[in-house]
Amino acid sequence: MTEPVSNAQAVTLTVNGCTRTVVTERSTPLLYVLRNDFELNGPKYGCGLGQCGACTVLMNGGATRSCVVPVAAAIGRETTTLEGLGDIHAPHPIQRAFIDEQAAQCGYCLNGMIMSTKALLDRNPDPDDDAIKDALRFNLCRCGTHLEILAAVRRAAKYVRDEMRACTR
Amino acid sequence: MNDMSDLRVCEIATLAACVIVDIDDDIATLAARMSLDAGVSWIAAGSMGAFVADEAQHAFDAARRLAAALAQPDAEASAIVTSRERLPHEKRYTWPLFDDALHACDVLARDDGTSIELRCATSDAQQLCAQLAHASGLPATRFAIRATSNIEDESFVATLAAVMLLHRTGRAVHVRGVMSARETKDVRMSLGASLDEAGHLNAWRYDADTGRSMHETSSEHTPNPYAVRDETLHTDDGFETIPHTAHAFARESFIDEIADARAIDPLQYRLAHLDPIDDAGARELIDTLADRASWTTKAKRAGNAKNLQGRGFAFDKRDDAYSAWIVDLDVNRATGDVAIQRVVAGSAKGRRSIGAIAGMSSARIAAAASKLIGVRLDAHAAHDETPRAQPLAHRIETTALQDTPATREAPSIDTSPAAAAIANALYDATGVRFRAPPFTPERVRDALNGASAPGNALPRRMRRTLRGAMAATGLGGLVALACTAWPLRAPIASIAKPDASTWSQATIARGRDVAAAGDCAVCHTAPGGAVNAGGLGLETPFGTVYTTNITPDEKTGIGNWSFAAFDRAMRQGISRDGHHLYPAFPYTSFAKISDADMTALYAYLMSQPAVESTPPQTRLPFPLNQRGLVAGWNALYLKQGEYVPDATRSALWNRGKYLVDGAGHCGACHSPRNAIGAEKGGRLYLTGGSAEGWMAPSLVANSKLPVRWTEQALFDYLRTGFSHEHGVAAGPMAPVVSHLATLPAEDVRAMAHYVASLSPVAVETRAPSQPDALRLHALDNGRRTFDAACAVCHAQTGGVGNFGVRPLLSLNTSVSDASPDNLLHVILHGIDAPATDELGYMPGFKDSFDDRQVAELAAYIRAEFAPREPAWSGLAQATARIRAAGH
Repeated sequence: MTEPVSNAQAVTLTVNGCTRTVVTERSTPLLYVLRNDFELNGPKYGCGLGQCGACTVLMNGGATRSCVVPVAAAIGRETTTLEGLGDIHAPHPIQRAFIDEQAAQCGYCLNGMIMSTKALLDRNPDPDDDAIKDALRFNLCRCGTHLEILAAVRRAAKYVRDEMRACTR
Repeated sequence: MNDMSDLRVCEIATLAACVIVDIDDDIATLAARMSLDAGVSWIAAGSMGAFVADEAQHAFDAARRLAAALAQPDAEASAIVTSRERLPHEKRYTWPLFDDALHACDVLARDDGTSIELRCATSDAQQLCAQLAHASGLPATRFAIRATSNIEDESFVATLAAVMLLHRTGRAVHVRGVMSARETKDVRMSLGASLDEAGHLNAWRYDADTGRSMHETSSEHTPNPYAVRDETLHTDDGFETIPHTAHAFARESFIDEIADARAIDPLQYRLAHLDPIDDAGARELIDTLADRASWTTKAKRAGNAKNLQGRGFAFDKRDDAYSAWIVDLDVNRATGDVAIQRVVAGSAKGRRSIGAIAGMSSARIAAAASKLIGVRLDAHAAHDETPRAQPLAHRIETTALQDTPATREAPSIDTSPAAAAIANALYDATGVRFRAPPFTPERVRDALNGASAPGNALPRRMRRTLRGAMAATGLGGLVALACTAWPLRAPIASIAKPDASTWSQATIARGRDVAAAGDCAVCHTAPGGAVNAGGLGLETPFGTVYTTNITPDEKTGIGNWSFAAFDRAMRQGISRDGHHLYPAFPYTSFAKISDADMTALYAYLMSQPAVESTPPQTRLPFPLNQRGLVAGWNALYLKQGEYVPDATRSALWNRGKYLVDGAGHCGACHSPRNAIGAEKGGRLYLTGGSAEGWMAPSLVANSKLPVRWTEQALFDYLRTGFSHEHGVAAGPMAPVVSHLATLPAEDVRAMAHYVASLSPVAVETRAPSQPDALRLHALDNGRRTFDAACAVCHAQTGGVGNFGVRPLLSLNTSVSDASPDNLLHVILHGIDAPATDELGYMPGFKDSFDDRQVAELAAYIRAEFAPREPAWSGLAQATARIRAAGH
């Protein structure tokens, strides 16, 4: 057998508006690079197979399961993580809604719930309950906080609409 | 649209007219006399006259005869030219002006009793009305003008003539042509040159006149693009009636004659007189066209008992614009018919460097060549041209279509080399020099008869061609047969690595496309290795065949391969050193690549970075390691000869078939192979095969598919790696698509068009039936696995959508395939190298699920999404097999 060859190379990414170059193999999952190199721990390692949604980030605005996408896919695309929405001092309306509804128990899935909600509300600012359930169908929560999360998304939609109204006024 | 059809209806009841202006009494008398012979009417008024007939063709014929009569040479004027000092090389050429002087037009005049209705192209009807009123003396209110186009104006003379003729004949008149009698004379051109010892042009003298001496010298219209020591240009052209085309004809014929006398390649001779720096643009154009036409790499066609064959080149330059033509033609020995086979022509701008080489529309090529040989021709872009791009190479055919008397097109730099290129090709074929167009069958036949009449020796060229023809048919055939049967082939001498600057950028770019269509790099690149440095192991039923290094490295690659060696390897599967290559290298397909594309591919590969790398040796077990045996295989399965287009199919179809069967070598995977690895043809052509452990689906109508592949679906799939109705490209197809994505879209369209044509009958779409509930119950495990692992991306609805495409399994080809292999491959190994950037990735589940779980999942997918297909059997074993085979 041949020796394993390291194909590490410089990879330049734009994450939350900042551009940085890291040295990594192109096939490394994006999640590892975000957590280890960019030190962004919002996206979580859940199943590692793209099933649970805890690792969700946005790439060019679209939901992306970062554990099954190699870092090479993010080259030339804008990546947004939970940290890119808002922080503790100025939370994003969706984050505010999740806090206000206390929609977490262990909280491990919430990164995915919030990022998927962002993708949903960008597409449909006024979803009904069926649309919310359908959109979050493939984000898994094991603590059973589904009803709180549902309420949080309803509230988030309202906050986002209010904010947009305030902006356009 | 309406106006045009009206016009045609009117044509039947109207008279057609060809108008001659600038006539004097002598010409009027001559014309009146000639009109009697031609059976047309001659109507004259002042300095204007017209041949009038029921059919436009008759009027044109009469005008042509008049022009020929007017063009009789003028002895006195010729004397001026001959009185000059003689040079070692002197030749004279003649250019008839008639065809350039005759301008086609389309003006209809009729009187409906109240007003004179005029239909013509005009941008200002009111002004035209006023002018007509002024010139004819009729009140402006009499005219009703209907503009057929407001983009370009018909000549005022034509409209006035139409009114005059309407008045004189009392019938509706359709004026179809206007000619000035002043412009009908022949142009005489006399060229002289002396050479230095090396054969380079020393002195250069050029005289041209129309025999209507104004003694006004102008040299600005006769630029000589070639470097000479001493130049005398004299053009007596007071009326500025000599077209540029005439000058180009004389100069390019003359250069060809000198090169022939010195036995130098005429194209190289021209290049030797073009400045390497100041004429870099022109040189690049000539190089590109020479490559495109395989000018140097292909031996002259031998001709046969019926036809003589020849090729000719001509070049023209005006300011910083250039153009060049290469013509291949056949001359029928008996009838003198000239059949142009192919034209490679292009133009470019820019003195030192040129941005892009522009091709020409086939219609323009056909129009220019038709006029010169007096036979209506039809041209199509050659099958190795990308559809809709401006083609350089054209296939020419004689057509039965009726000629239109004259074209509207003004002579331009693009077509000015046409006459000399044809004359030079005629000389190459027949050994007879034609120093005046047109090259009609009668003139060519007369010239052939004259040259081979008793007492006259055959022209030198013809003798050579005859010998060549004999060799090709007799001895050559035997040699070819012997070579095919002989297992060992002679090595071809190595050469020093050719410099990349040997080829123009355009040729190298073309070669890149051929390489992309042929996916050279897919097989000739090892995982993680340098591009084209070889070393990928191809699993074949006979053992692993390692690909070779095809970078231009002189030691380990093909850097010391001449084009002849490369061409032989590509078409016959014989390496430069004479050993046979295994047919894992699809030379049976590559044999169909056109010469020009082969040249371009060689140019591209030779211009890439050389990588020193020795790939592993291919070691097949005995007796397969006896490479000489491949000779026998070749005798059975290798069909020589490049692709011959099917004239009954469209250009798009032919282009597609050329790409699919040639460079694209689709059949290598998608046709079944027989026991000794040859592709099965006939009914089994492209009906599905296998590659690297994957099933290559059938490309012809497959009743198993839930939705038939359409041209659009094939295009989407080949272009992007994803068709909504069929799924994503994976496995060995992914790198193929990634290369196709770099081809011009029209080429991919052509391939899709051709492949779609293989399944012409629409397969009825079946409504998916509900799977049997009981059967599905037994598949509960598989369903749960699907919902947990797959549904996030592959469910019909739900979720916020993830990066990449969402292939629906109910439409997926792999799910309805007879074999589960492709589906199992993807489940176990995922897709980590998608064909294109936007497709997204799929994780492999080989480390998450055991064989039983994968088998349950596959069984469920089959039952749920391909309910009409029988369940797969032996899924667990198949899973184990594919897991063991690895990626």
